Amino acid sequence: MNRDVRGVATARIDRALWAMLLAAAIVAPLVLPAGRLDVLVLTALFVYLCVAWNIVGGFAGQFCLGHSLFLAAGAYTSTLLEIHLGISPWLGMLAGGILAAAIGVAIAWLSFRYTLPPLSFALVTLSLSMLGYLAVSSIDFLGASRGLQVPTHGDAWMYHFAADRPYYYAVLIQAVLAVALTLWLYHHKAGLYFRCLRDNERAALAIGIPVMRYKMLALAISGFLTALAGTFYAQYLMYIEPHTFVGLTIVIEIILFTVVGGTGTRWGPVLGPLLLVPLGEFLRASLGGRVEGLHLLIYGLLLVAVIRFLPGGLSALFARLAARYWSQYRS
Amino acid sequence: MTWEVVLQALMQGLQMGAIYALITLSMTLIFSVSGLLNFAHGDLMVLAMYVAYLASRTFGLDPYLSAAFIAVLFFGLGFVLFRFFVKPTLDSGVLAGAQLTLGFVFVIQNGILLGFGGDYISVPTMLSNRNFALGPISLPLPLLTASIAALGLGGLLFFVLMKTDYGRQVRAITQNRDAAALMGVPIARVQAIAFALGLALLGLTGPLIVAQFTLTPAMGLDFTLLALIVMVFGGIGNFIGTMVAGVLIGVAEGLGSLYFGGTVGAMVPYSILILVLLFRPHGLLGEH
Repeated sequence: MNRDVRGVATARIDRALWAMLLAAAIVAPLVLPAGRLDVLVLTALFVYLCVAWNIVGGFAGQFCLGHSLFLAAGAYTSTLLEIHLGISPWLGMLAGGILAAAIGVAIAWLSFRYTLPPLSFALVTLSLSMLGYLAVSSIDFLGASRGLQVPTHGDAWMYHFAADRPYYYAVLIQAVLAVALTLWLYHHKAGLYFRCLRDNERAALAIGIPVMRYKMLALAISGFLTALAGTFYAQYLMYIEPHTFVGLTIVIEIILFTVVGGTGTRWGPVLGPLLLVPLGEFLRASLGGRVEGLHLLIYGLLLVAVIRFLPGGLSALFARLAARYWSQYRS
Repeated sequence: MTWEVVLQALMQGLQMGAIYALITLSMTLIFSVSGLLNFAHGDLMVLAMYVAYLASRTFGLDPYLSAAFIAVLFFGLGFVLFRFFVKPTLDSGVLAGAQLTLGFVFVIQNGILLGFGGDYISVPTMLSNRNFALGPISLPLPLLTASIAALGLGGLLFFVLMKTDYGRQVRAITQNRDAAALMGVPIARVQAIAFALGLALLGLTGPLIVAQFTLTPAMGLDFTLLALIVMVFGGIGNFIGTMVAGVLIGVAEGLGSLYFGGTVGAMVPYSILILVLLFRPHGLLGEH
């Protein structure tokens, strides 16, 4: 069998797998007991967040630790607009998204004016997110460290639902759109440029790719998507406070999930949270009540093991297994 | 505000700065020879603090005495971690290495939570609650001791780096890794020893400063961030710059919280880092 046929066949299998996953995601809340939908919602939310982070951290290869700023931009903008002006979060999230995109562009401009030593982008974004955390927790208008109550009156027009199921579909639609965007982006000019500046920035510059502009674009897209997730999370929890929305924990979770799935791949940011979020919730449910910290310890060991023994993450593992299957099939 | 209060804050900042510098020196040592950005740095030091607490609780051993044992223990731990986890991961890129240490953060924090619970713990030492009066200002004795120890250890590390064969190898790798390899410097061994030495320093530092802090499992990340800031501020791989930067950050933080309150004080180091990266990206003493 020649390489082209194999390529076409892999693409077909790939599409079939995406379709199956989508079908499973749509049916899942109808099959599962209503009390367990919170795990589904969290899983879909983290798939969405990881897919968004992967655009900057994976495709464009810029190790960004500042995504809590984008999350907070979404959550706080939409909530404040609703509290003070009565504007629906459906509109507020767009305002938050635009704010986050602007922050993303500003961060890119700040950090890429000079050629800095490797990984200093991680340091700049880390410090910015710590500054954001400290600022939000001390500004009274933003609720300081007490946080803000998201208005709970209103209906679906105010992004407020009575049950978990509509929330799940709301975040699922956004996650699916984000995945579709990255699948399209992957082969589109912008996506190719992103990967180009990840693999060799000097070469990218030499062949005339406007590196700065594309780094800004990557951060703007990723920030916009993350801000929408922030609004969703605020509406779902009905309460926002700095630790959850501006803290480093959620950023570290996003990065680790993506890494376990496979950074910079199309499947990675989907596979990682798809496996790890339910597993985390399962460990918490079965061990968390009895021994404090045990479920998170097991979780951490698992993460270390994957990073250590499966470079490239789960998607690389599956790709290797598929390749082995193909070579057997041929002989 | 009287000048005594300012002087007091200045002295405290100076001493905290010496401690920050010490925490950072081991991070710089590890980073400059292996390129590993260690996000678990602070957590490893907090682990050493908890080990000191354990030693004090079970054997009645004072942290100032157990520090030596913990340093040896951490040297071994560093060797094992490097050999079996860090090195193989670093081979597939510095990014993977940084991500691995993010995983360590999870493991250490929750291991501590599991072993010691989430309550605040303070460890009694022979110097706790004792002050040293110097004219109008009074300095907490544990802080004074820790900062003197930090200066001593910093000096020792400086001596090792400048005057021993091992130090020359470290500097050679820092300056040009490929050339060092061609000259016969055993890169992998120097890296392993640097990592183990870095952890041994943390194993010493943790118990020595334990009297200054109330322990909680999640406190490590703050130390990591401070160390990162000091490292960049001082110029990565520049050991004298690191000492100077540590002291400056400590003083800035102390004066910042004196004049503007705790939150703004805590924001000062991060703002300094961003300004440094924007205007002096090669560090305080680095050349452009």
